[in-house]
Amino acid sequence: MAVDSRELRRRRRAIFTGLCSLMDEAAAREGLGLWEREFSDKPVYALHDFLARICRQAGLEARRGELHRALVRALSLDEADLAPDPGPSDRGAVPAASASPSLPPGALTVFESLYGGLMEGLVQRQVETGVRVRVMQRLVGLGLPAGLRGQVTDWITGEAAHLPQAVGLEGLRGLLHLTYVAACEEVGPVSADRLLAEAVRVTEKLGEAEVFSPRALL
Amino acid sequence: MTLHRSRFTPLMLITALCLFPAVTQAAESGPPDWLPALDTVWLAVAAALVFFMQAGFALLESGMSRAKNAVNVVMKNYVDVCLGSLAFWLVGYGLMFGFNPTGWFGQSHFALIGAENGDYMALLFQTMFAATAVTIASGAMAERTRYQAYLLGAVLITAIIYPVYGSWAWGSAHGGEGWLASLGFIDFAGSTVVHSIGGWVALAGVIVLGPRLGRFGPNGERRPIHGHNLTQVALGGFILWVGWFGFNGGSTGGADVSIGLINLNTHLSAAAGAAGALILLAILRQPVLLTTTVNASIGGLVGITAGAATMDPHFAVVTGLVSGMIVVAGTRLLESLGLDDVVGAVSAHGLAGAWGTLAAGLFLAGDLFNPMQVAVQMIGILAGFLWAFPMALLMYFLIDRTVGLRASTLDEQRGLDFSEHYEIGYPEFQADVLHKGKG
Repeated sequence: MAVDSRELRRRRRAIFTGLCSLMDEAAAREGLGLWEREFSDKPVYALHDFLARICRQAGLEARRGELHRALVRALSLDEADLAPDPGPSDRGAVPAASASPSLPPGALTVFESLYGGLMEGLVQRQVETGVRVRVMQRLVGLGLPAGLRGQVTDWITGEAAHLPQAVGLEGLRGLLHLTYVAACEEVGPVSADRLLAEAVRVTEKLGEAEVFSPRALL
Repeated sequence: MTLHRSRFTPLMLITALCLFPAVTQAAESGPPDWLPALDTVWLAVAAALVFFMQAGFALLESGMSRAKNAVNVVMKNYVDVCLGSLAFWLVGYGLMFGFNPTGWFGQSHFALIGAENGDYMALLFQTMFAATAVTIASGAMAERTRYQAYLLGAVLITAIIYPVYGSWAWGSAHGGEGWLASLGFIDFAGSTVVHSIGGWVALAGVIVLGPRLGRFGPNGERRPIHGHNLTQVALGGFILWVGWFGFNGGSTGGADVSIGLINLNTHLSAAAGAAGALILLAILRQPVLLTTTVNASIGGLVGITAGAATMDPHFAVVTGLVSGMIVVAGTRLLESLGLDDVVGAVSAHGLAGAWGTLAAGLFLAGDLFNPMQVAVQMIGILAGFLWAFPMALLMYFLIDRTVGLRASTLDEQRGLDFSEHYEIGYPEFQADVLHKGKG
């Protein structure tokens, strides 16, 4: 159901207000990013799914009920009682450069191995260009700030050697998922599943996989 | 189907006294009831057989799905029976079999309590039919439907969509007559009432959902997504076949000598369904897949359901042969239209059910090819489609816009077993593509 932009802004502030009651600002911004990317266009019932995801992500499973109450309370508040909008620069809730240390050790290497393994199989099928184009066309859906999105685009096209840390864990997950979706469209879901499974197997042999499981990015 | 009808012949009475002395004794000493004891026993057995079909559906549908969605498919089959049974008891049975003065829907016997034993037996037997109708959609919509949204649909189907049409064709057991029944519409055990209605609902669900991620290529080319366990599919097919002996045999409404013909026709038509698919695939020079063969025999079972009691065995064979061919052709037609029916339910239940209902009119014993009867059958088939398809389309559309029917692409990637249920069916070989999740 379409929601007008004013109502969407109000909900955004309400979610941020609710999250801030149990999290520090950086974590709340990341949670808000998740909500914007995956839940802002969904019906109100989807709040439960969002709650489950954010509790898992922030390690707040034990305080799920508390957070639920805080979110419901915030959603019913008047605009005047809500926390200020965290601002457009944080939209997408990818951690800013200053928050980059929040990316777990080994995550970037593991991601690059997974992505590389997936793309290698797609190169063999001569569809890697199509997949890259599809991913770049959908990057905006990850909610990354424009500058960061440009850096990610450079990495996808091979103009940059490494992804910026600032893309964040959710960003890495989102990017891998976009690649999987594009692979499904190019070679079908059966082949895409096989390629992804093979990429996981290869990645799990890396030393970094000992400290950061590739399955955390699936 | 008339559940009030008692066909307790002397021969059956002797058999009953020999085989079921305790039952007949109970019947003598118990309160008077419109359904005799032996009829009750047969209906109870038949109801159990029809319930067993749920296991067949679960095995067949999960086997035709990928491993990462197997639990979700089984859960849908399991729980739609649970919620559907409650909805049918509360609302559906009354709408279908309650007092029906207008011919359009029943108006009594909701949340049945304080009734006669025969009523309870009828309710149980009919609940199994409702459960069959509702579960047909689950396979068609597999691998990309949100669990809660599917269940909401299942409740509405068993509470409203299925029983309203049922009241037209089979109503009523408690006074009044459905408008289709009054025209002389023949649908003995529900080729249209149960199976086509389920098939049209499935078609609506498939349309609203859209195909699975990557099922069709950019230029519309088909990409087969094979099931993860074909042995399971075959076992599901066998179980459905067994269950159908209760489905059709129980639709006599009691222990009856006609069950021999009915179940023979059922068996022959199922066998002919598979044979029909073999013949058509040979003509088309296509490989004979297990999934197609099993689906074609199910098509044969669906097809004979309308006329199992009213046609001779050679016509049951014809009905089954054509049903099997329809399943093959229908599946291809749907694919060419870009519709992703995971298990081929629309062809096996919707299309084969429509043909079977027509065949029941064409091959009516003692009145073959009567154009008036055929016209009535056509009206019944068309009415079933015009009722169930738009209603289901509207229902799934509204569910999609409110609760959300389609799972996200991330859920499709991870598999609905994990994303909807936090468990997986095959932890050993699924571990490598499993999201880390809670662990």
